[in-house]
Amino acid sequence: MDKTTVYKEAFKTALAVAVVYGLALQLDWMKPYWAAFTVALIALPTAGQSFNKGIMRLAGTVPGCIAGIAILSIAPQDRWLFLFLGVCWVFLATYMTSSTKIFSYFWNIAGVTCLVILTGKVDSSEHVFNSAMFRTLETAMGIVVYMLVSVFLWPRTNLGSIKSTSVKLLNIQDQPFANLTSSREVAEEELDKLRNTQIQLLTKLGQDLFAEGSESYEVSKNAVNWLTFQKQCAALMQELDKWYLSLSSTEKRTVAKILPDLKKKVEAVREEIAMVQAGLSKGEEPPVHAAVKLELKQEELATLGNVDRIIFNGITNHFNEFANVVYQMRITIGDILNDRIPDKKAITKSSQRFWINPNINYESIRGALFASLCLIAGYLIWIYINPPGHQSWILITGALGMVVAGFPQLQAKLLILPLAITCAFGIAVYVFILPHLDAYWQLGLLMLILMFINCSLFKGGPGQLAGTVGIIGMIAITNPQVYSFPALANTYLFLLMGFGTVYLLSLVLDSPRPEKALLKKVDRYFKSLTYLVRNMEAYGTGRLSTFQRWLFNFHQYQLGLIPNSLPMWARFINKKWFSPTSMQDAQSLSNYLQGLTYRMNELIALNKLYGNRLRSDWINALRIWHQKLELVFLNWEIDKTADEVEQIQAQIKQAQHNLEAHISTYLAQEKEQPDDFKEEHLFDLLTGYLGISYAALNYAEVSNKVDWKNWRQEVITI
Amino acid sequence: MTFLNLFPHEISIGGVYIPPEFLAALLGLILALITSQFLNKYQVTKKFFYPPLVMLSMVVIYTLLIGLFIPF
Repeated sequence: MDKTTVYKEAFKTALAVAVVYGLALQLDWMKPYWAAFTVALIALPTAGQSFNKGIMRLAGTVPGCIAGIAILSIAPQDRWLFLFLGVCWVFLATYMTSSTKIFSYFWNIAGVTCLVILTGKVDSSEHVFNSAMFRTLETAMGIVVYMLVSVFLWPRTNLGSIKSTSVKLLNIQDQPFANLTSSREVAEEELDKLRNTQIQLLTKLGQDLFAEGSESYEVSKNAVNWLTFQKQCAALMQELDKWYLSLSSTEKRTVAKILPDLKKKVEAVREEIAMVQAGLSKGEEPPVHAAVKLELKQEELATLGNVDRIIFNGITNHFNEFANVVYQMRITIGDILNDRIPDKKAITKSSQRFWINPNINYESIRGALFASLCLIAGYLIWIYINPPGHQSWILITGALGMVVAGFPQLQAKLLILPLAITCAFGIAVYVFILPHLDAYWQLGLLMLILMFINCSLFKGGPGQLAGTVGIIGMIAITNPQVYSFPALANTYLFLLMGFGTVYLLSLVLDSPRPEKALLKKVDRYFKSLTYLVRNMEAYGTGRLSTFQRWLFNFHQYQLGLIPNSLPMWARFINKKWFSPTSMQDAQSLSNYLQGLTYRMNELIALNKLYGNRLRSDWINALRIWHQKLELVFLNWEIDKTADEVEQIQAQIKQAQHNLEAHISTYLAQEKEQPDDFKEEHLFDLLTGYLGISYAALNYAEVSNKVDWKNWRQEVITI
Repeated sequence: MTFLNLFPHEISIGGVYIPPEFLAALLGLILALITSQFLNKYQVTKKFFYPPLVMLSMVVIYTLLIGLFIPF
């Protein structure tokens, strides 16, 4: 955002805070600062985003209030049952916050609101109910006031953001094809950068869908089609990765010989992508004709070795899958432009029965355990020590634990120091300025000026959050206005002690160093990969027990989650200890691990389809290949330094040579196969094996550039 | 120094009473940070299995020592 926009947004937030605070005081509502906090926390750059966040906040307040009232009703006098129920709710809320994308804020607020109700005035059921009601009412008032201010004063909307983000994303996805047709050599760093940009734009597309959907009826009406389009963009990225990976294992001259039409077909696909972009930007419906199909030149293919034939088979399949996704996109854009909403029954939901595909997020479980631990610690500190803050220790430790669990990259120094400074500033204002002001217009003006400075100085992030707590929390305006410096000083000490306690607790579960988090994730990735390779044959032939199948699905799910979470950690690595090259290599690790994931998922699917139809000699040959892969991945789990690249190349060449011999024998003898088993199925399966081997090789090359010794070095840090 | 001053008591700063545990914990944290810088500099941390717990332990140990032997 440019400076003028920053100041305008800061003014809008400050004005809404001042107005809602005045309204809450005028109406004599309990704790008017709740309404002010609502405005400060939902204020986002565009109206659609703010409205979406506001609705999530309001929706999350309701179950939080219900949970708080229920816990107080069940355990009003039993402290340990009270703690147990509170911990259960916080565990659930924290897990759902980090494991769901759409309702993440909803669950966060549900957890925090429950803690607010539990720590409020609980001397009678009437007061408990009143707290819940006023909390909900003031949240709603905050949302309404901010929406009115943002709609009437310098409105900024999300209208058109979906289309502009989609066009940018398709431009990025078109670039590798443009490089191919112009025969330009592309450096690996450029490919990494392209992939990272795709991921960022895909994430933005998801956010824009909800933000613009909140503002525009046309978008919300076509929500199903837009979500389908978003999935197609993600599928396009995956197919592009797979295709590029398979293309990189061949020589250009061979490609030109076997696939002479490649450039022509690539141009055709590029034209189709341009049609989709024209549909988005100009509203021109793309014509629907058959998808582009690449075919191999069979006479030239016959001159190649068997393994090379398999590789080219893979290249063709991946290109055709990519072209098919572009074809589906044309249909979806046509549906969007003509408002063709698909029948709800026709939309098949993925059958993810929990007991078969639990999709448990390991990181979310750890985060939920941490938040629960913080809540327990806060409760025990209140019961046995009773320092300043008293029952609010439950609120501060529980709420902060949830925040840290949801965003573990956030380091302590980013929160504590700004909080200490802004709260000290708030105390100074409270002591020296507030006693001289009496009418609300003076107090409101002061609040407006301070919030304006806070929002324009920090522009979002932990600094703005700390400033909001310092201003709204410390400069408490009540009706009638009462000044109590000891109470304020106690609150200041309590906040610092609370933040410090949560930070110290974070040291118990794990190291706060981003480098360690990154290493542990890579470690877990290879642990899951080793497990999958070891049990893939049994999974494909249905010989696993229910629990083993569940575990297999769990590890497969982890394989999908981990690579995408690495770049976020790589951004927070201490630049003092690592060179910029090392950091870039760490970020590009994520791309190669993602490549391994695609190949592994492909292989698992192919193995399930064809694995149990193979003859026993094939099964034995592939088992040897399994064992080699497993050994390589096990080494990478234990020791992050990859084997010498030449060693892995030699292992792959040996496996290829064995495979060549096997295929030649098979073709020469023409032994009987089951009726439905064709040569192309075998080639598909072998494509999967070759694909993962080459992905492992690519990973080894980039892994060798990372100075793992430096990364593993132990340092005490805050 | 009177006999009563040997017992832990709140410290008054401008009429605000600060609990002695808070000061002991603050000083303990500062000393632990200083110690950790020395440990990092002379690469003693390489020998620790779990450095974050070492940091937490140092904070606790320093806090207790200060609380026991320094009369606030």
